Amino acid sequence: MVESTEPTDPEQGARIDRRLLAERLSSQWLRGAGYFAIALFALIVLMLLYQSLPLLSEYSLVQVLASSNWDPARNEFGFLPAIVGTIYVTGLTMLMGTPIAILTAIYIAEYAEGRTKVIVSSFIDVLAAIPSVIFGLVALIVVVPFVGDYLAPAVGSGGTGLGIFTVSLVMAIVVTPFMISLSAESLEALPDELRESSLGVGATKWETIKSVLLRAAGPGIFSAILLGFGRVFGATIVPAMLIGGQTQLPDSPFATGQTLPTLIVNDFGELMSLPLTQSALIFVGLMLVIVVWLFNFTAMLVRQRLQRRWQY
Amino acid sequence: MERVYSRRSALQFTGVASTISLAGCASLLGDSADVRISGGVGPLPMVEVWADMYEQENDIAFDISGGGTGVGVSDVLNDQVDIAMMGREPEQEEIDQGLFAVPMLIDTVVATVNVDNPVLEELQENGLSREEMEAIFTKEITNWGEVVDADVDEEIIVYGRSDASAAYKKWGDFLGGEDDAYTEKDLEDLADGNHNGDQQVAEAVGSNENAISLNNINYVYDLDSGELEGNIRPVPLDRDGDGTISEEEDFYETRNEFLTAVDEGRYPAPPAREMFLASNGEFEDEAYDFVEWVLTDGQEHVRENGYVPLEDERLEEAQNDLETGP
Repeated sequence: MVESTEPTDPEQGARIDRRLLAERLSSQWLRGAGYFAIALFALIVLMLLYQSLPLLSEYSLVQVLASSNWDPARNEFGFLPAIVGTIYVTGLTMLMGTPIAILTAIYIAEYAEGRTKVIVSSFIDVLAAIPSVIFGLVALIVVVPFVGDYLAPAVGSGGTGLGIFTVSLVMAIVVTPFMISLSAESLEALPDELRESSLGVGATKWETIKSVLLRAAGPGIFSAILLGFGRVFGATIVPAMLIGGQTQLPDSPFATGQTLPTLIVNDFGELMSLPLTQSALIFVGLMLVIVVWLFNFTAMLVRQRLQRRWQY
Repeated sequence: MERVYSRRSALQFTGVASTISLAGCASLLGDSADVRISGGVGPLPMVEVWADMYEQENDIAFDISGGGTGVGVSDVLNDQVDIAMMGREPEQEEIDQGLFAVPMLIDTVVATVNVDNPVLEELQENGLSREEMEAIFTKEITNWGEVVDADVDEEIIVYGRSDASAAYKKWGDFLGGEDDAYTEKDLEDLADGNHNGDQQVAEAVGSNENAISLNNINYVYDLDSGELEGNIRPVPLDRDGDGTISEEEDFYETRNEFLTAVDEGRYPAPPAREMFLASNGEFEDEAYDFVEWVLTDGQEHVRENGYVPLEDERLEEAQNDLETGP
């Protein structure tokens, strides 16, 4: 107690007491919040796992992952088409989006000057803030007819314009702004000495960017791409609106398909009350969580390695 | 005189106090909803209208949300809500868990084509029989020129529903005929593409001249006037399969005419289907009173909202069911 050490006026003692109490409370509060976050993740995974047990007791894991017949009404739960569809969409999207994102980020960080830079980067931030359902709506009216009437026939496949390619195109538009903002930020955060010394030994601007800046900002750009990947992987509303919802193995980029999130979103509305189907859908959720978590974990490891290798 | 309180702590105090009072309000609001309803989006508009009327008469508060039939059923079985709205009859598995349902009204879907369909006139004159529709929806017939005797060469585009839809399921029952039914999955896989909602399907059919699909009649006829005003048109059903639409089969001009025909049994069920209100075990207290009202006075308002009321016999059955419980 404060009073026992030396006589001070009581008001001051009370103030110190109050400060100490606040200190103790706040540190415990912060620690509690941290543990709570971890506990929440564990609880979610456990809940999903527990709820998926009915399905897994009925069919083996290999059976549901490798068979391609999905018809809840007939108790057939094969996840292969949705898994393939998810990989397909994610791969195509990253293929289209990543180069554009990196090049735009370089332009914004290194080439754009003054007013142009402000306008371009604020535009991209606005794009990143648009809710994806709006992209989905616009795509239904614009992109779907375009793909169905011109693009698909041009490469010799038919269809309605709904399908994997359309989803990937729209998802690329949805995620690139994020990747651009983050990549540009990590480029801009690099110290100017890097640029100066590289230019000073006679490298051109492009050589500087290619061999110095991109390496130095590498881990940051890598994280940006991974974040984009995570968003595409878990995208729900855009694929649900545009993919065509047929649970079959897609045979071309213009074929309709299904992704894991759309499987959940399309079927949960009618079937939550049937135990086995509910269990199947929750198992899909568990798969999504596990895959994303594994991905983030490996990304962290890779990033640490990169940071060690690409030091400047 | 020194101020004991800083401005900041006064602000903090008001912040905390208002949060607490807000929370108090919210819990009060939550408590004041006497009847909580959730479930299928098909019957949702009608139930909302009923609840509004009932609220004014009886001073009872409702809390209504959509989400789908399955969501309503699982909510009601977990005692989250008092009543579930269902777009289909309950499954045996659900009844085993204690679900108890009574019918409330009849809803129906029709086959729809674009207003500029190349063979629209022939379709309206001759209709399509069930067998022809089955052939079209299963992609056996793929060209509008094959459907009618006309010099037309346009590929048929079939749209389906990708989301779980009771209407689409019933459509599969109807297309399959007497002893055979397509599951929703079968139809989805046979279609050219699927959209996740009635509105999206209507939009797609309305923007593609060669498309055919199915829609709830509230998307076909204008909500206020009950006339055919949008970009989609119903395809008359040729019930007796004689290749023309007779006097008996001609009732697609206005919503009112169509509903009368469904009422009189001139349009088959399926695709017409009953919708249900369900509870966990017996209906209780306010929920019971509301459902009882729906099955008596509430039936008068069904027509003006684009649904078909239950037939008298079925209505009596429902009222008895409600009284006796499961």
